[in-house]
Amino acid sequence: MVIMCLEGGKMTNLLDLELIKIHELLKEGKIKPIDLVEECAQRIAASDLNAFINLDFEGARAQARALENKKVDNILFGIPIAIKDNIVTKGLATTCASKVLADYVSPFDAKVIEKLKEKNMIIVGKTNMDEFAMGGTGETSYFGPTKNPLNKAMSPGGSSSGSAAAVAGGLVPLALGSDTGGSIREPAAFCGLVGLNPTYGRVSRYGLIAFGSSLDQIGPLSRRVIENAHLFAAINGECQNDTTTASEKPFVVSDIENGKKYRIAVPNFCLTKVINADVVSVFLACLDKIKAAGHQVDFVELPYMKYAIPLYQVIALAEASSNLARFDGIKYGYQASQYDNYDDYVTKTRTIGFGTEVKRRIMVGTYLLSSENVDVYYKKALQVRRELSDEIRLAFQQYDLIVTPATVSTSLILGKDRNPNEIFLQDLLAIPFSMSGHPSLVMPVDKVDNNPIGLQIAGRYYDEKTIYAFALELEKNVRGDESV
Amino acid sequence: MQVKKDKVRYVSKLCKIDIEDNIDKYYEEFTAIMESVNKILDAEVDKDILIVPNQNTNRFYEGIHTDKVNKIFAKVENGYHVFRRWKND
Repeated sequence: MVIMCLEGGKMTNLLDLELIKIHELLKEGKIKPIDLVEECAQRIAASDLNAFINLDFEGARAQARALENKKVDNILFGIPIAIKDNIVTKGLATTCASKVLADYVSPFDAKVIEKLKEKNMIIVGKTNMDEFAMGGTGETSYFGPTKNPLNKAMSPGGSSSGSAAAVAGGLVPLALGSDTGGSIREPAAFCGLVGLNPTYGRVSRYGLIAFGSSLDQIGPLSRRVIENAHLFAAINGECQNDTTTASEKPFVVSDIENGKKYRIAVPNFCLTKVINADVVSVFLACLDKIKAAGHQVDFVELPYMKYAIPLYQVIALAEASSNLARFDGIKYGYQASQYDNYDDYVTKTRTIGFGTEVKRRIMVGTYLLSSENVDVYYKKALQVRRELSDEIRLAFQQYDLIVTPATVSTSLILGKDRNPNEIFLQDLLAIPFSMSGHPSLVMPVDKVDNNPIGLQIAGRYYDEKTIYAFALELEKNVRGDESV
Repeated sequence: MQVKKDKVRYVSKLCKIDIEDNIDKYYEEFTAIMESVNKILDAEVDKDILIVPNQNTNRFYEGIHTDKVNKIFAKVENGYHVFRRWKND
């Protein structure tokens, strides 16, 4: 049974309501968590987006019924959520969208899952993604590509393709994704969503299956900025199981201060011809509105941004080659059935278990780390990373925020044969902040031919509150608070 | 720097991945990525990097947040991520 509500003079389904409205209905006892779960179940069953790899409605219904006797004590109470399938969940398979982990069930919950459960959120399933988060269209998944709900011929972006499609398609109100070099922000841009890549160290990576350990972060995807902030507030904080988490005071939504005027830097690099003309046009129009709202906008030089793609290719692939060495079929995952000896067993397991994109990245990463190349490429990349991080940090001494377009173009067509560098290119503007560890958020600001175009807003370390404050204002004043 | 096909074949063996059935395609894509990677060689840098060997894990790279790193390695500057590298790589 789907419950309809009167919203703005018209009948609407529960999952189409703003999070705060759903919360009020739950708090007033007008609906129950099971109503939300049933609506999710109906929508997912009717969907052809291929957004989910595994569903757990049995568990979700049981949890929803168990919540009926509990007090609604926070805004996320009883809210269904989807989880990217590289975040481990106890008792529910975590595949990383790979054959090599197709039947893997984790014996423990990731830290972020523990935190969601503490808030009494309801996990309905694990979302499709690029295999091991390697890709930018969702097409490298062993379980097939995900479609963009706004245009099913197009990609929802990647690697958090299923999480973005599930939220944008109205299958769930919220989702978690992970971001190594734009994997939350690119799908957010392509699906017209809000996606945050937090400060490195804000959110525990305990239970996130590693791709590039110095870059990987878990973050929220939502339809609205404030909903994103609520989910981020729920998952951030120091973790004893992840030594890279910071001991900073955790972010809370009440930290967000409205009404301030900000000094905003715009890298000149955003106007280079690599960026699609439609994207630049929307971006410049957005800057005009930002200036008209009373903020200071200055163009600045960040010369190391142009090295973002090769920098990512060296560091992320080098780390991936190490992290994925563990998938050998010995302890867990896919195991080759016919083999002659140990070497043959491991080789067959990895050759059959990994997809083409993953194998290519592992090989390039290993090549870059070989003794003859490590100083030429890897050490050089670390030096460039430091130069880039320093110039971004320096910019933040003068400016509160840095804004750029979210991607170099609008969404990509599914099923097209591409040069391997084409996918990396989409993350050109996201990678610099992944490299420096600064937080950045993507939000929709306009559409061209019904394809959303996003704006990226980066802030100082641990200053997500300023990003959210600015994004909230932008959502209200520039976007008109219309959900895409 | 141009990568030779035999090198790609050798690397695949190191990774325990058999690419013989599709070696030409892998070689072509590998070369395309390396063309992009080579652009980093043009970057001018004047800062040195501390690479810390990890005594506990073989071939494991890990970014560690600075406020923790500072307690361990006093020379590391604020805000900078250190990468551990096994010295025998």
